[in-house]
Amino acid sequence: MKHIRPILFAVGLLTLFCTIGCRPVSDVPPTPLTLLYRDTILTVGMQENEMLAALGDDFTLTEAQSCAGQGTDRLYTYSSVRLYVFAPEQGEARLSGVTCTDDGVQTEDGLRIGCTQADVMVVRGLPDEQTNTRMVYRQERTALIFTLRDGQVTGISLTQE
Amino acid sequence: MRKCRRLLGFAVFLCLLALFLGVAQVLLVPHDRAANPEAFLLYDYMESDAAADEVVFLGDCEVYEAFSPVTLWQNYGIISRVCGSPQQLLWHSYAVLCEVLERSDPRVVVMSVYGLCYGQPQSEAYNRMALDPLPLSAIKWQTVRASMTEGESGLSYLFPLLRYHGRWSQLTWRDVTTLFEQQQPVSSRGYLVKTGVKGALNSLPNHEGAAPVGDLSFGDMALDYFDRIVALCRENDVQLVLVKAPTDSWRYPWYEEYEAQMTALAECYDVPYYNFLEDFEAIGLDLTTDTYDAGLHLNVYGAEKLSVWFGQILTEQYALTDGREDEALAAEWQGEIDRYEQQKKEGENE
Repeated sequence: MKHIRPILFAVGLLTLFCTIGCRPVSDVPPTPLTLLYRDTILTVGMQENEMLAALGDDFTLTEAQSCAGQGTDRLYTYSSVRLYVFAPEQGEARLSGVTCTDDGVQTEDGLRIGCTQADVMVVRGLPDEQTNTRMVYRQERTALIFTLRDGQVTGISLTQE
Repeated sequence: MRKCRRLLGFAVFLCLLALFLGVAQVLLVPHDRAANPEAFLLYDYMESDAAADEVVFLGDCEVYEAFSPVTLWQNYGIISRVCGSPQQLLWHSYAVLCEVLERSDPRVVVMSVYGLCYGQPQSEAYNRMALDPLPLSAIKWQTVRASMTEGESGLSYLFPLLRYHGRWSQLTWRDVTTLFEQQQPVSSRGYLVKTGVKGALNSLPNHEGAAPVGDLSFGDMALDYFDRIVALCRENDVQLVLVKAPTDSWRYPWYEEYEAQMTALAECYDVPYYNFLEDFEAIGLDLTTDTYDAGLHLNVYGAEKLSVWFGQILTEQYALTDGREDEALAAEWQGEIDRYEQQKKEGENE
């Protein structure tokens, strides 16, 4: 009874320090959903001409008209990546999706094809959606998708939702 | 007396204003069908006598560029029509189906399942292509409200001038002259005749290179309207048949996840489902010749093959009239056949 006050004080102080030491989740900035290729950060929504100026012209292009002439879908295939662009009838043509085809592309935090599922979890934490074959991370209207097989990342994609 | 004259003057003013706004609306709302036939497909339906239709197709380009009513008639006497529109989603199809059931008593409704891949409204332009042709009704209004994208106004569907008033600076003389021309149907009973041949690299469909999709599950809104469509067909004693067109491409992929969900959905609702990708070779299709855009859609030669294949299924499974035995119908359809052949010829000569 005589020592109860110092003990309570110590417990309170300890609790206070622990609380201060834990940053609220909302203060931790989320890792952006982007990919890095040829020193260029690829972001959903970036302008087509900006993308092409940065990556160069060693691509093959496949185009498809949208139904009823509402725009054009373009598929740019580079050596390590496929880039999907939508060019509306009126307005800017912008990047709407990216698919990595080999380990020449990585996320800004270093994840690439060949990493393990565990690597992804360590770097990015729990996904927003997970199945046996996919881990999906979402931020606003962008999704970063890791395709898995036997615990290994076999594909990485970025897409607008 | 003075009060009466004022009231009369005000009434005249209102009438003149209404007349002016009416003329402005007719002029400014896009109406040149030849410039963009795909955008006006459902107008063909609304301007036709659909009472005798026994088979009606609903959906997007997977029906209006895949099934030819003339071919179904020529081979089986099936009286059919396609009520499709660009990117017609499930809520659009529901509204169109309500209109179809007002105007006719079909035995079979065939619906493309690709719309289930879209769980949310996508585009104002495609909303308008599906909904603007429909007459004002409670169902249309509900569908407008459900399908509006960000920035759209429901009032602009009641008063299109609110949406298109900005077109005044883009008007051409053709916008005026087409007001006085009789608009010809842009399609063959809703089927858009495409004669071009631009082959794919492979003869078989595949979605190699398809864009990534964040969520492969069918969305709640699409499933809700699918449920409504099934119920509406049952209430009206109409057989619903679900179809997946024999196309699968980088632009319009049909993933295994979609197929698994579709198969389960069809089984759950006990509705027949035909995935024509599985019958691709048996149908006799070849994507080096039967497509006008490198495998994204079938051309008329592919659509005719598919129609012959599907017509056999329809004839065997459902008690449909062979309209060829009716002289009056046969005469009417001869006109359709002549127009269809003319469209094919014009396309081939381009």
